[in-house]
Amino acid sequence: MFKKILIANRGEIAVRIIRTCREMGIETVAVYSEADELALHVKCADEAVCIGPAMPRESYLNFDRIIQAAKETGAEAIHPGYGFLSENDQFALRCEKEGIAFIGPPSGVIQSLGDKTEARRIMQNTDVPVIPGMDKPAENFAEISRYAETIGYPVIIKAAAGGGGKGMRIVHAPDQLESLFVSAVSEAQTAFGNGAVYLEKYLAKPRHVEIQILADKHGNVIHLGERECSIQRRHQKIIEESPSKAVTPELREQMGQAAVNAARASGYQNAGTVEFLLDEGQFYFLEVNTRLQVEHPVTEMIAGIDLVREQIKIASGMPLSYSQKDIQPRGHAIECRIYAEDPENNFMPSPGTILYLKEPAGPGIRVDSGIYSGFSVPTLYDPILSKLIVYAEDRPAAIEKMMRALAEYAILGIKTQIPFLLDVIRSERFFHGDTWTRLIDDEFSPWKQDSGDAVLAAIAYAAYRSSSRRRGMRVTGGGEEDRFQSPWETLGSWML
Amino acid sequence: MEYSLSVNRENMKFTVVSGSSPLSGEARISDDTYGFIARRISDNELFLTINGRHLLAYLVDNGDRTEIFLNGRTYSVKDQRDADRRPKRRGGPGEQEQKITPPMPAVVIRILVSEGDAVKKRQPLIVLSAMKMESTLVSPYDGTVKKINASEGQQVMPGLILVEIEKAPEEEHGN
Repeated sequence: MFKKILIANRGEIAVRIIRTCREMGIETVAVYSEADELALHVKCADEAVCIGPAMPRESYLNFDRIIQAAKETGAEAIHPGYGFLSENDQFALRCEKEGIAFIGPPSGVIQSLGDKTEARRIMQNTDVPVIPGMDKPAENFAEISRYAETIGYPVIIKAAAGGGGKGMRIVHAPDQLESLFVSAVSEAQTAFGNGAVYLEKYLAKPRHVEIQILADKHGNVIHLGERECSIQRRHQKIIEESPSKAVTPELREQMGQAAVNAARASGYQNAGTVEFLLDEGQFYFLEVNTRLQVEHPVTEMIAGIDLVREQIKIASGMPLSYSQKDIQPRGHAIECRIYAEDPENNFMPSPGTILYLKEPAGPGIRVDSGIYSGFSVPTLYDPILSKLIVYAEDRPAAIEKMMRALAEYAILGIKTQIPFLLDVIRSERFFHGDTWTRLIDDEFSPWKQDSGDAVLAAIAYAAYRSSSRRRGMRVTGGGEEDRFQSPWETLGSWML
Repeated sequence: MEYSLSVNRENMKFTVVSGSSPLSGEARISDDTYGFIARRISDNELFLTINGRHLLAYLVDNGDRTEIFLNGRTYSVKDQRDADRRPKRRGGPGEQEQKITPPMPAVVIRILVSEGDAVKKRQPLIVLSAMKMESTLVSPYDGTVKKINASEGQQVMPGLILVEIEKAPEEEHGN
């Protein structure tokens, strides 16, 4: 087993990894940019190395500085977390060459699964369903028309050269196809100077469902069930849960087997996630994430397994601690990602200093956090602050627990989307598990906080003001400032 | 004691009559009366009993407002008395939009103009990044770049004028 691990990341995920290392008796090395000198992950680690200026490419993405930090501190392994270098095959390769264990899959696997078309080909070869679509642009309308009949309506026309919705048309019936084809080609021509289009099956209300896998270096591969991550804003997940209300035991078995087959076919090692879209009971391969996911805690909660511990054991050459039949998930877990952003202003980032922080507590509540009271949230990195995870015996109880926990989560000084998350969690849609990837866009945009307890807030303000000690300017009229005496002042001459 | 507050941009006027102990009283808001007892737990925590119901409020003073967290929602409270004491901001609405300053703490990614350049209204001047999102500040009017107060890679705060533009003399309308 490793004696010392360097964590090439920051924020909540670095703190989370450090905690498991400590429990395993492994020493930890944090790395940090000049903007993160006082970040929580630096304070939690046994030692820390500054790896450069605030800009990510000069610090958290800087191969040389990170490798040098590992060598100087004698770290035998590097955990990349998520984001930054976690899916960079060149960095994994560099670690391999330097004789440092990269806690993740081999560089060759990261490379082949990172190439989306190659990943799609690997999946097709192992009979994992992919979204039906043309492999190359259509030659003419007749080809489009034939193909649409083959895969069935609705279909979506997409520009081969572009993105951003340009040259994209959703076609629900054959009689619309020709006119929409013509306008898509013309729009693509204008936007990209290339009118080539192709056809894909259109999934109207897909759910995002993914399978967690673990694979060791001895050929053992297991899956740990699914996570549903349909609640997204700007194509980024914000609420995740396990199990999914849409996945039956039979479907779980099918999807799990597909993910295990995909892992075997690609020579996978360590923890990974196979992502699918699920539409009307049919699942389609999306991509493989060759790293620990942000939302991994929901799986940990229901499976009763520490995924980071497993990652470290696998990287050190140990076989999996569990076989497939040992995996017996129970209960229900939900995660809310807490971001420094303004839900009333299109989720724009809201950096600044956290002036007050109080985290929720109680049975079944877990907070994976990278912040503290007084911490200034840097402007250069992902605005994730923490993750709130709840665990309960079933889904309705988990929803109630999440509502309770969010209502206890006070973060002041910057804006967060906690009030927005509360509205989503207590909506009818979410309660019934009626979720799809565009739910936020379709039904929660734009969003404004309701007036809620504004009256109570006003009373709280008045009481707070009148209880302020020596606030100078704020003395209430006539000099009758109400002064609050703390219990310590009225206690008398007690011995403490 | 009369209060005139703005709570999340909603105006609220009410009266508080202090009771016998310093931190109890009655608040009269519209036609409703709320009896309250408050105990200050710390600088940021207030334990309230309002009409017999317990409530924990968390508060911070943040510049010109007080932020209050109650039951999962944050309320931004501005006190009219404080606003009256502050010097009024000069200039009408729209003036602020004419200043080339970041809307939030950000990092300068690219500067697209040089001092002395003639610029057109809405011409991009500077690209900023805040938390992985890029945004572009544009010139508010036709003019000349007088001064650039930032460099690429620099962290900048709201209020700092990044690019100073000397406005070109008004042209005849109708173009």
